[in-house]
Amino acid sequence: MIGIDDDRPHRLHPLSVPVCVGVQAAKLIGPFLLVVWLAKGSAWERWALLFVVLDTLYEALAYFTTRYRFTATEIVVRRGLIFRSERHIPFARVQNIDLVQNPIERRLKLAEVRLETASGEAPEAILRDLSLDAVAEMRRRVLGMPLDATAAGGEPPAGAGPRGAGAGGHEGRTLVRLRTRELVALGLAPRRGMAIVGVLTGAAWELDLLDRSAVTDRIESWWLSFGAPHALLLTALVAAAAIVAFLLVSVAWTIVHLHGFRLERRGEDLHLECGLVTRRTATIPRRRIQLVSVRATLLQRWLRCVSIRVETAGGIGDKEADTTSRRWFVPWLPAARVCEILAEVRPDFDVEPPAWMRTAPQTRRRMMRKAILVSLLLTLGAAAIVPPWGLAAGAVFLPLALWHATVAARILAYARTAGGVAFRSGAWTRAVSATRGENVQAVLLSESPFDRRWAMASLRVDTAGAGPAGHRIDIPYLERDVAARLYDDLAAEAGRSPLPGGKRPG
Amino acid sequence: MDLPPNTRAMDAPTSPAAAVADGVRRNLDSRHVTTERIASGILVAILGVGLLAGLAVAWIAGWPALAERLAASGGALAVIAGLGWLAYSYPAIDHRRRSYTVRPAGIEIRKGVLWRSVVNVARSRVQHTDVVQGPLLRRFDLATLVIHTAGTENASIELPGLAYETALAMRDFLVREDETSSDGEDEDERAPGAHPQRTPGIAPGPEP
Repeated sequence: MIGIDDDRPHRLHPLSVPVCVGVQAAKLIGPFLLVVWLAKGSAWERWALLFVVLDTLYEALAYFTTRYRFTATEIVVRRGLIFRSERHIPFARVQNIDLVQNPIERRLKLAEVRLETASGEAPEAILRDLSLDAVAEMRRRVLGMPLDATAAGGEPPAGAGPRGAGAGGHEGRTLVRLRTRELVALGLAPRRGMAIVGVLTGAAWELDLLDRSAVTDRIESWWLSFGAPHALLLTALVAAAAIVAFLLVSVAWTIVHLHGFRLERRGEDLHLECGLVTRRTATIPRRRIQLVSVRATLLQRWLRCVSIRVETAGGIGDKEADTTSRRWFVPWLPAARVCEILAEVRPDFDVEPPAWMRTAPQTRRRMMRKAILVSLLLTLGAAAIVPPWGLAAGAVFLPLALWHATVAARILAYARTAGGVAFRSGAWTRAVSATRGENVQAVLLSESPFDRRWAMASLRVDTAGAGPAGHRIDIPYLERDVAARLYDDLAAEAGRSPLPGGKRPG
Repeated sequence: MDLPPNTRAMDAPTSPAAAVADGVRRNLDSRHVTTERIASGILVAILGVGLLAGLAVAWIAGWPALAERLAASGGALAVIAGLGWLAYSYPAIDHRRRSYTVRPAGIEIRKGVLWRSVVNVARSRVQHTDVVQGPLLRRFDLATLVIHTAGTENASIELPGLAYETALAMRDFLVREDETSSDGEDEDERAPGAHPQRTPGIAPGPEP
């Protein structure tokens, strides 16, 4: 539907100026205060202030210098005053149009728009901010989505009843909703908490908090006054308290980021939203999904739950939390519902093949040797740090490593499914990933010198959109001839199945 | 993954692109060894100059003690000699282990001395290609073919040591499919492959 206004350039929403300024200032206020505190009245304060002001103004300029317009086949985004850039993005290359809204933007009915394409780790274009109507118009033109399905970037269209069901056009069918209770359980299996602890520790180190002689001397003398066994007990208690604190932080992070999580299916797209403070929404066309991973941590297995991640072509490995909403996909799900949900997502990806194939029979021996080596190195390291006692750590490392190797060797398996391949691995955290031949980008068969000695090889199937921490189809310890056959097979499968719609995956 | 005896390196074809996809496993161009040696040699030379400069300073300043100076000098010279030998001999070993095969369905590239690998990219999976030529390669009329896929670990696959015309022929072959099946929206992606003058370091058209 090409209107008369086709080539008219659109601007960002006028309110984006205060919003951008506010966001940028908020981002910089922490470091700025830190600099002021550390500088303690030196000239750096003024430089820091100047930097903050300039950076904020620069962001505000975006409103005045950014334009976008639609042609028949592409969206053209122009930005910049001194350094001008004009970026043409063909509609067909756009994989996702994601929205990020902080509470203020939500109140003002604005959103930051991120256009993701298949190539590259960063979004092709970030427009901050557009009104939700402009977003709907963009989605209509670029992705060809009907207006009512995307009216408010995540909120159901007005007057259409709960979740848009029954409105003309695509109805939204809720697949998964998460309760706070489930988020707490999710938070207790920490992943992200580590980063926060790392940052805090780093900050404390930098600020010399750990070195304040008066405080640490007092603590040390108090400690030593207890005598050996009590001191150890106290250490254990403190460690336990630290772990509890860490878990609390992790749970809080999870609740803030995933509150109100909802996954819906609207026709051929999956719609996802979550977030307590900053509300994130994402729309994932089903056919853009390249790989599906079903993961279960130890805690999840105990509670008979799993989490599902998908890899989509477009926006890979983005470290910013803004895309975690899409990467999380289904963070918590009763294991019994996996088949039901995957049938809605991609029924052609088989994560529960009828028969798993094991890797080479010597896998277990090899993994155990590696485990022994690793635990030996760790024990030596511990012994170097804490001279006599460190060796005792070996009594902990070794059985743990051997157990890990045994379980991992038992779990390791792959399967050649109809039209695709599946792979299972892990010990503490287990994951199964599946993909199809049409999503295979490249197939890599490799052997290390150690592989050569054992007559093994490993096979990797490269798909689009894999993130750095995602589970990948990377099958180690295959017998050499089995690996070669599988390699030929998958390469032929990839050659046979052309990418639908030309060259872009999906 | 032992490679069968390597086939004789064929001459650079100037015939149409279809002849490129003959399914024959080929070595890289033999001049590739020379360029690699030169490149490694330059690196070793830079390192050597740095080490020698450091030694010269130490000798002139007369610090540290004579014995240590001699030991350091001997060590540095040994390191330079060792690296020089490595820079000379490794490219030949590496060259023996590298080969490629172009079939109608796609391309397969082998490489690696200790860590060996074979990668297969179907033709339909090639997003776009670059033919890259630095000044050293241009002197020897060689080029590197970079194949971009939509994958992540193998997003760019490099194939160095190709004769320039061969690289162009392979590039044309790999991107040709797009021209027949695209609907005009792939202009951006095709550009680096289809228009030589946009690729850095390449003069338009083959040299006479």
